[in-house]
Amino acid sequence: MRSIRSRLLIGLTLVLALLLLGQWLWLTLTIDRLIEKQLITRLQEETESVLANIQFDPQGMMTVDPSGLGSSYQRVFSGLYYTVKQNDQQIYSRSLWDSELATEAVVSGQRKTDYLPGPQEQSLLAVSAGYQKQGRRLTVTVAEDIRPMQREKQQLQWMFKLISAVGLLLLILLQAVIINRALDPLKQTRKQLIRLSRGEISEISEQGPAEIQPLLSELNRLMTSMVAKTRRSRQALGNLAHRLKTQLSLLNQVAESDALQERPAVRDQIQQPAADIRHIIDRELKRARVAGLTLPGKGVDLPALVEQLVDTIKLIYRDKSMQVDWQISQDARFNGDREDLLELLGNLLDNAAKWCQSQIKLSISQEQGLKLVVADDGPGCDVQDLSSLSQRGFRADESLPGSGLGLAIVWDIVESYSGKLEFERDSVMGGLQVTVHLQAESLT
Amino acid sequence: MRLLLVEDDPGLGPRLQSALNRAGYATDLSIEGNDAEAMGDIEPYDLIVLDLGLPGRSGLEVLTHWRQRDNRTPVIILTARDGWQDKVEGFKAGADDYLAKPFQTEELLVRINAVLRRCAGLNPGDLSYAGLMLDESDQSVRLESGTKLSLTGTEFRLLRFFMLNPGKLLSKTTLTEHVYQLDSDKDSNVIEVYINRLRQKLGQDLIETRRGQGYIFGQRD
Repeated sequence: MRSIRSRLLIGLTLVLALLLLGQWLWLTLTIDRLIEKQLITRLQEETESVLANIQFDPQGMMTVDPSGLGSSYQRVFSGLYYTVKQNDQQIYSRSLWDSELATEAVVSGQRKTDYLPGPQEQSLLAVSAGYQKQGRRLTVTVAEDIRPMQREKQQLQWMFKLISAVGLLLLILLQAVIINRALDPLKQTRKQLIRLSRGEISEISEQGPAEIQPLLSELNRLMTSMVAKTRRSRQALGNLAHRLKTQLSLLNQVAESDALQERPAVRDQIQQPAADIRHIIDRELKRARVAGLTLPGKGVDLPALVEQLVDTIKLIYRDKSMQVDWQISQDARFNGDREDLLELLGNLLDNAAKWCQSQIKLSISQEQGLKLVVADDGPGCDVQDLSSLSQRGFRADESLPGSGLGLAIVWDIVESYSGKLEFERDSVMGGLQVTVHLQAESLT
Repeated sequence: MRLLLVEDDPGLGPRLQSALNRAGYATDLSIEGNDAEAMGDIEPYDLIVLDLGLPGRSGLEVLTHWRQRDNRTPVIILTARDGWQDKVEGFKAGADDYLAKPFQTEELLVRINAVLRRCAGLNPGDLSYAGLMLDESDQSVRLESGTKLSLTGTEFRLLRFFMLNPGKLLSKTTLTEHVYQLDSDKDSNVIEVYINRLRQKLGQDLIETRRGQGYIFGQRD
């Protein structure tokens, strides 16, 4: 889905452009009509002036007295012309020089407007009016060159277009700024979500616009309750394991008691189911404890975690002289649950420590998610077998190196992080090399 | 060897205590965190087996307090919580070993042996010194000549303590403290009787008497 910002921006720009276009059309048309109307009124008034200056000689021939009219009628091709028509007689203003205007007789009291071609390619607007003076029917036509006016109008239109374009641009810019500022809280929230997924913060600030504030509160509430729930269920599982296993230990003690020394068959019948129960508890409870990708991570301090774990492994296997080399790339980050990672790495390292001769290598790097590689210099094992085991989903089988409970748990954790688990023979040390790929991010 | 077993389960605790006693460890049982912490500080135990889920005070806290007060008694953690988180925390707090429940007594004995030997600076494996080899499975000792002699419980405990501390001057009180458990009748003169019995079985030269001071097993370092 497109972002709110681009949707707002495109929508508002369209509306603004439409508005300006409408305004331009309306203004152009209105100006045209206004100018035409005014011009026609003026020209009509001119016809009246011309009419007032018409005189008739005794023969009935008419003449126009130019002294009573504006000087433009005297200047050649000035752009203002008149012509008066009476039956066969037609008088032209001096400004027309030797050109003529094609006019038609108009009934007295009527008026007619025409666009006519003028001399020297002028465009003329002509108003003809019919009059009766001293019993004679006259048609007076006054025409004016409208080219200068059209030029001015065009200039005005260009100016208007320019101002509109600049205005539109400014408005769009202004609007982008307003939208950006209005959406700023959302951007802050998004940044916070990213920081949350990296584990840099544990809660989102609920200071947001009213529209999303309930969403933020709900998110925080969900997260808090999820963290509490995971902790509670882990605690409950831990207690359950503790009590069940203590009772199993007791059962083992009973099986070892003197009363049963003479009856090994009975002892075995107690010990075997006890061992099976232990296996089931270990597997299922550990699987249930895996948190997986349900929670935003807490930003695990990888070097500290690995260091502690390696120290522990060395203490557990202190009778074996072995070297654990580990390296963590600078950008490696794990955003999941700390305990899950500890369990995953613990089991992998424990397995490597169990089978190695003297050397274990661990490397953690960021390659579209977290990549963990654990390798040892032990005898290795049939990689094919392990791979097929991992596909079947790991039945605990202690007969193969590393295929016991530990790797089964590893498999559960990798699966809950939608990760990948691969087995290879280490090309340098010859032992088993386990590669784990965990998903990139829990929340983005 | 004196052991402190801290286990709150009313069924498992006493059974484990008697199993450890049978294996030749004078074992005291504590069922509560605060008590256990005090006992571990006061009594000169050779090793402590510590359950983590305790009433009163958690085992991890108890262990942390001991280590803070520089109580270096080796500790084996016994717990049903066997996640790596718990293991890391346990070792960080100063545990020497870690055994997950449920376990078989044999497993625990092997761990106790290994930790004791490691703390005495000895190689893991059978306990041997000056041609003597202690067999912990049936509480007997094999002489250089190959003869196998069985030992009584106290003789076994006393010899094992000597063999784990060869060449050191050990007072009668020290021996009593490490051979008998808390509630037993402690008459330090009885130690002399047992030392004489050991001398009869193993030869007179092995245990030297320092009048007024105590005994030295084997060569003085």
